[in-house]
Amino acid sequence: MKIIRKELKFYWTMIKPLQTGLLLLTGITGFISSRCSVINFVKLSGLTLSLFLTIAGTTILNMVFDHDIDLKMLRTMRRPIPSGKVKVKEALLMGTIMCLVGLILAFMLSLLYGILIFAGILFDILVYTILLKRKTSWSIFWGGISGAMPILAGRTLGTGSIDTIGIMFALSILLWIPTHIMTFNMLYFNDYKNAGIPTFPSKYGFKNTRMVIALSSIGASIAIGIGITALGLSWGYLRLLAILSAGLLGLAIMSVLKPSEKINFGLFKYASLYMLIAMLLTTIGSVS
Amino acid sequence: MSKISIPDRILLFLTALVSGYYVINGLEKYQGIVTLYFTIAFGILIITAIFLTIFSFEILKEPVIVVMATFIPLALSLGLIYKYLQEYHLLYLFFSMGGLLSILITRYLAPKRVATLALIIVHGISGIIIFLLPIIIYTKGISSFYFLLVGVGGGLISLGGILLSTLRFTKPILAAEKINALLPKLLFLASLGFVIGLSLE
Repeated sequence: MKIIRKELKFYWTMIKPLQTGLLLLTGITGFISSRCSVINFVKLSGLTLSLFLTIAGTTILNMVFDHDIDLKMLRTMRRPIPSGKVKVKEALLMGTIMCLVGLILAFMLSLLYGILIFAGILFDILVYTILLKRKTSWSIFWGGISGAMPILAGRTLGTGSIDTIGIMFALSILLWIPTHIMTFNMLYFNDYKNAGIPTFPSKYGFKNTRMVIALSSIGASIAIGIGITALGLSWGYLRLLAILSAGLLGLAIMSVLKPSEKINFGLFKYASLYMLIAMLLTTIGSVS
Repeated sequence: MSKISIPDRILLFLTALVSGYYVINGLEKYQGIVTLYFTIAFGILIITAIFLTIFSFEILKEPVIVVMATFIPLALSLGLIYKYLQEYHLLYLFFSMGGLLSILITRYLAPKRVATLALIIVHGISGIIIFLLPIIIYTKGISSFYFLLVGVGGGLISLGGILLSTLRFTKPILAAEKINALLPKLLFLASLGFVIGLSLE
């Protein structure tokens, strides 16, 4: 029992619960925003379970394929695989099973939903992690596409087709992800350098990276704003979103004009909080 | 500058939550321009609460934050003036714009004392309006008793603003740590006063 609990604890850290939780929330938000099947708890439960399994499974597989780089980085060297607490083969098996079960469930729910989830896994593991991450700093774009899949898939499951609102929501996540990754690239610059991972700051410099983060944050807020407006939420929700967007814009400008590690990290935290609140507003606004 | 404690973080979160709730559900009943003023006031209250949570009290050193915070009492008092003393609105709007401009200019170009004085004058006048107007309106029987809470909120937010502005004095009224410890409580109570008072006016 003790061993199982210990193993579960390792796997809990390997699925990056906060990141998985936020991506799961985007998927649920996408589904609820369709306003068609909110009371269909079977569908909602199926979506939640399939998304959780595929997101968590993909995160574990990323750790499997990146364990050699993780070992070279101070920030990640204590993760379960590089520190030897979990064997590579075991994690590979666990990640694959989670992804497969999640995928089967996804295809059982809807063909289009299943295809989108499969595309998300493919972009993340094959295109981002295996093919591009060690070769180009632009790999994050592909990582962003994969991160945008849960919300698009969730909405598609609800509406039955890919629509403009779903694409806008997906675009907002796609633009939000660089702010997340590039902030880490700057904070742990030497780590990435030692591991030989090409990043935006190492290729284009800190100043340009800050500018990209600022523009990307603004783009994300515009995309989510368009999505929520098109969704037809009441003015109250739009007002609150406009307020939060103004805060994001202000911080983005500050990070370019008065750059510092604190402002950068603050922008990253604010952008994450912004996305979380935007998702909650969309969910509450859609059911109220 | 001290770090923000967990209870203070909770208070700041509640400040943002209460204000956010009012922005979503409470502003539909007003005329366009009043909605705009109140959106600005509550919006900056929300952003201030979030910024303080993320950056701690160090953010208060930024001149832009000081200028931004002035919008809270100014926008709220402008909204109240428009609603209850519409004939003075334009005059007060000019005062507000002049006040903001003077804060902005003195913050970057004038000596500390002048900048602080400008801040205290603008915060003080807008605070007095938010504090006194609900009392006058209530005594005239135009609003309910709860509207007085808006005045309480106005008093608290102005107190916070004035205390913060005195930090630039060689001998501030209160030590920075004490003001920082008070600020989340003041913001929360003020937002609660505004929301309850305006909802039940």
